[in-house]
Amino acid sequence: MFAIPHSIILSDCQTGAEVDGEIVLLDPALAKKSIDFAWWSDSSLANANLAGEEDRHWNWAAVVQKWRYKTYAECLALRTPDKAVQAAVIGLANGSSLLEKGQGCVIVERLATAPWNRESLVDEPRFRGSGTGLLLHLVCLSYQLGLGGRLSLFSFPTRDAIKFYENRGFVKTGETQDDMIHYELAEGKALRWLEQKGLR
Amino acid sequence: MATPKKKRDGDPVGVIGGCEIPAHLLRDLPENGSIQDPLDKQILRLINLHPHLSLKFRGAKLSDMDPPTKKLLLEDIQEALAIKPFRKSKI
Repeated sequence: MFAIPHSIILSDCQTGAEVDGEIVLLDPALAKKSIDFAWWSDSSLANANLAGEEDRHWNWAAVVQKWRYKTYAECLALRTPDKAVQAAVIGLANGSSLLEKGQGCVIVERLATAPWNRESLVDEPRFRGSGTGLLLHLVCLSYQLGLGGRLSLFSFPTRDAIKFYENRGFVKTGETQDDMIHYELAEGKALRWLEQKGLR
Repeated sequence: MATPKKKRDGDPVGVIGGCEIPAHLLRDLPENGSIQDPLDKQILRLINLHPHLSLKFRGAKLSDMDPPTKKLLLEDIQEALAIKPFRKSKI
C-alpha cells in the first residue's frame, strides 16, 4: 500500500521562502470557520473589487455537507502551518472521459484559492502554488485510482487560465456550461506532469 | 544563510468549476454510503471504478478482514491495475 502525496510546497510571495502546506480532509466545520467566515472578510481585501469573483457567494460548508459521504467525492483543504486554509477543492472520481471514450477520470466539482492569494485581487499575494498544487493532487488521486491521472474541469476562459491549461496539455473538449469551458487532461499528459514533478 | 528566491506572483489557478456537471460527464456507479475507514473507501472505489476487478476479487468481504489483510488486498488490486507507488510525499 502506498500513500498519495499529502503536502504541497508553497512559495511565500513576499520572501520567496518555501512553506509546507498540509492537505487535510475538508469537513463542514472547517469549511465554515476557515473559508466561509474567513476568506472574504480578510483585511487584505479592504480595497479589492470583489464583483467579478465567481465564488464570492459559494457556501463551502453546505457544498461539503452535500458531497462528503458520497463514495467518489474527495473534499480537501490546503492549510499552512498557521492553520489558514489557502485553497480548497472537491473532486469526483466517477468522472467520464470525453477524450478517451470508455475511460474514467476525476472531475473537479469546484476549486478555489483563498482570495488573498489571487493577484487579480491583491497587490501582494501571500502564497503561490496552492491551487496548482491541489489540481496536481487530484491528478495523483486519479492515478492512484487506476484512472491514469486523467482530469476534467470547467473553467472561465481568462487569459491566465487558458495559458495555464494549454501549457500542461489540457485540451478543450467543446463542452460548455454557464459560460465555462470544459477542459480535459488525457492520460499521457497527466503522466508527463507527474513525471515532471518527480512524482513517478 | 540561503539566498531568498525571486518574488513571484500569486497562483494562476484561482477558481474552477462550481457549475452543474452534465450527467454524461459522470459515470453511473454504485454508491456505498458513508464509509469512514480510508482503506475501505479506497478498496471500494477501486473495485467500483474497475468492474472487471469485481470478478477477480469476488471473494473479498471487507467486513471479515483485519487491516493487514485489507492492505494486502489493496496491493493486489494495485498490481492488477499496474498502479505504482509515488516517488515522494510532497507536491
